[in-house]
Amino acid sequence: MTRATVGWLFDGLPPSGARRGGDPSEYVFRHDIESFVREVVQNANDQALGWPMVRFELIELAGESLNRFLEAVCWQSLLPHLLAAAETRGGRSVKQALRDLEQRQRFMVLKVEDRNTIGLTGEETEGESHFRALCKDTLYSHKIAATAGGSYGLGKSVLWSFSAFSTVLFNSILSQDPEGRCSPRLIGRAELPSHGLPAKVGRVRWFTGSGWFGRATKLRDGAERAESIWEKEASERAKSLLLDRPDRSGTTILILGFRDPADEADDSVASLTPRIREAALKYFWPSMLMDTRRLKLFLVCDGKENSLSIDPADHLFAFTECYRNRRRPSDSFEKPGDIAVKTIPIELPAAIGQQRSISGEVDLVVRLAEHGPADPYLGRVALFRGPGMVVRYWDRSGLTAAMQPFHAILICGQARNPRLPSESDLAIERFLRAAEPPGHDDWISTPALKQEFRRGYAKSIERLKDQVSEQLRKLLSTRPRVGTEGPDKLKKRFPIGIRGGSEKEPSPFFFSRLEARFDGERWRFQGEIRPASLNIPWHAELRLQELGEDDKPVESVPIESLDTNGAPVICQIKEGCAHITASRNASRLRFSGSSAAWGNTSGILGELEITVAGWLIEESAT
Amino acid sequence: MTLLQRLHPEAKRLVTPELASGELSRWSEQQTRSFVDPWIRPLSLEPAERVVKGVIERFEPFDTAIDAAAAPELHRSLPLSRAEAAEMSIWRFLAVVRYPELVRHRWENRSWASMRARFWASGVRPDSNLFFRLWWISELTRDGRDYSLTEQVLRKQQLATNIFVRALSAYRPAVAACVAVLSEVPAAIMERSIRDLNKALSTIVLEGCSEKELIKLLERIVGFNTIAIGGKAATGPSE
Repeated sequence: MTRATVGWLFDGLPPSGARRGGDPSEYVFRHDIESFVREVVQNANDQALGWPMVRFELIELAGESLNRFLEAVCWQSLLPHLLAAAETRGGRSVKQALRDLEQRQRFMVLKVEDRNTIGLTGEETEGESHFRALCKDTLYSHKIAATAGGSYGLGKSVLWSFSAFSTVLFNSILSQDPEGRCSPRLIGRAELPSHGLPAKVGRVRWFTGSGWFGRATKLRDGAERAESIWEKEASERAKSLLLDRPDRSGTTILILGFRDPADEADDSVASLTPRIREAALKYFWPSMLMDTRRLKLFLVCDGKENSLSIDPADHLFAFTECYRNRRRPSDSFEKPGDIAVKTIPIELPAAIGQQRSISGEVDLVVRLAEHGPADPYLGRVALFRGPGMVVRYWDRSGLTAAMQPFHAILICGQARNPRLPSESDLAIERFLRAAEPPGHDDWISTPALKQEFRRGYAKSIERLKDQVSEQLRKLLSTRPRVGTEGPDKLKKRFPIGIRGGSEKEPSPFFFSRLEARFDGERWRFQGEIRPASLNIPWHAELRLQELGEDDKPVESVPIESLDTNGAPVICQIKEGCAHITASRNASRLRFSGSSAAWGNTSGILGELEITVAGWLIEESAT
Repeated sequence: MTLLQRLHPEAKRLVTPELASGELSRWSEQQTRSFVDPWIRPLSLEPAERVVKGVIERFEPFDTAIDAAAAPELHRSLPLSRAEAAEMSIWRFLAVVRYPELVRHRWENRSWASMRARFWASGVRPDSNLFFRLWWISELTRDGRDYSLTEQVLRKQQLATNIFVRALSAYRPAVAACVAVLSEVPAAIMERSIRDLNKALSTIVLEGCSEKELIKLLERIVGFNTIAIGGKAATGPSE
């Protein structure tokens, strides 16, 4: 065989003459950047041999680099099929892509590289294999493990639906080469609508729409097909096809004309790159943290490879903290950052062919949060199982009217103890895997559950969700303190010190004339508080504390008396702290007071800080 | 030759309960390869390795005397400038990758949060990276090649804890004054007196005070506290 025999070959129509307008699996679930990232990373995750790694790189081709690439991909043998498909009803996006290419003389490719994975193992057409599942078959999955994230064989359709030309190339280093072959293995696959090309005079030759890029091979019946290119030639071609990869098992995928089919507004590198990053972290942080997986994600920006991680400023950090502290709940559950862990029992029906129903547990980890209107994950529960992919961020923020803000995770199945899962964890893993619809984005009643489990599976899922909601209600329902503050959602908090208000948000109060002095026996202090909004009742707490060399509080100084100069307020001193409750008429409060006798031990005084914390009280809460 | 290296921040995932408990004695080179980078200059770890081995041989697990013995030796074995030693990644490399056994030998695994901090967190508190803490306490308390103050302060664990959780520990005369005045006073008075010294320093410029002036101030504080609480709280010198 010579190198000239490498190119694109499309299958002819079957004897029935049945045509197709496109890939039906495209319509089964949403195809947006999030589902794309979920599918490709999950695919690598499912095929991991050790700690998997996935790397994304968007490359915009133009000018000479575009010409070189088109030559390498044998564009001239693909183009007639693209043009013909473009004229069919299902080929509108191909038509648009060809027009864009002609006008702009540039297009985008996305390179997705995984490492430490099985690679495209298997013979060209024999037996069940990863190669066949991805590069040949439709609606076939070769994922055997119960913990696999995918199961339908639908996920791979995203690769073609994100290609404007419905064309994808693969280069793979196999963990186990077939007999007589040596990695790498190179092949391409186009999934176009059925189309016809002119043949003999006045006749048209029809094709199913599936075509392959590879070495042309004649079969016994005289038909021809394109087969994988191997070894040195594959390695050489991979370089010019931008598919070169390190010599570690795994697969590199190149999506030609990459674009987001759900959002055609802006498909630039600058727009797509952050969206890929966000989606990868959003759904795979558990897999990145799990000891048994340690998924690593990389994204190439401006030619520089960046390792993706979640830092404390990310909204997702709260969920990672839940996972890290799943075995170490806080002593208290009162302030932001505190963590509570609840084990929820779950009853599953017996699998078909078995007698016993299954009793097991899942873990709900809840972390109290600050109120943050900009936090899209507030009040969400991240649901996940063994593969460490978040199936869904379940919105539970509206469970009750007055609820403390939170983030939570529900750890199920093998994710509870990835190294040594119990039998019930494994059974729950199988059950929830079957409960995932093709998009793997919820746990619901599915045909797979019906096939695998006895009746009662739908109730089990419902009960699990009810119990999660019930635990959240119990943990998070606010218990207002008598008469003053109201629930958290209704109050505005403004801790301030003598140096002024919080820098994060404007204080709804003004403070002035804050002064303090030591008279030889006790601290004397005074000041003025004025609410920024009039006619709203309010509450404030005054505390005194001495500071250390590092400006951190060292010791509380108890307040003994507070004079409010006849203002319409109620003032109480409790445990050295002054509590002031003001009616709507108190538009200004001048106060003066004194500490208990002080300096009775060492006689050393520190710098004094007056801390005032206050809340506006909504009428409904009083 | 084993060289000092840097450990990436993402390697925090290597600090696991299994590593802290010793169930996993050490990560393999293959497992850590993607997390480490060469340091800015080649620095052999052979002297540090001898120190680690020697300490583990000479001391029983969890012996508090380890700190006073190991700190000067570690400091001498790792000739770094202060700017170099401020880089946390090298201390994390030593604790997480090279010598996790020393962290486990010094500290009993009672709390995961504390143990994790002893591998990862910066600072000179007892719950911070063991290598960072010992090297920096030595650096802050030595006088040239004389480490006697280092050894004195680390022999008194409670005193060391009370000093090194505060910012005043970065000023050698303050540490020396604390050791001189507080080494033999009852624990309750020692604790209260350091707290009062810290308070007093909110109105005095610490770096403007000499060791003698700080000793005088501390003696005055201890005098007051001994009268005020000495009778009821003092039970013996701090250990």
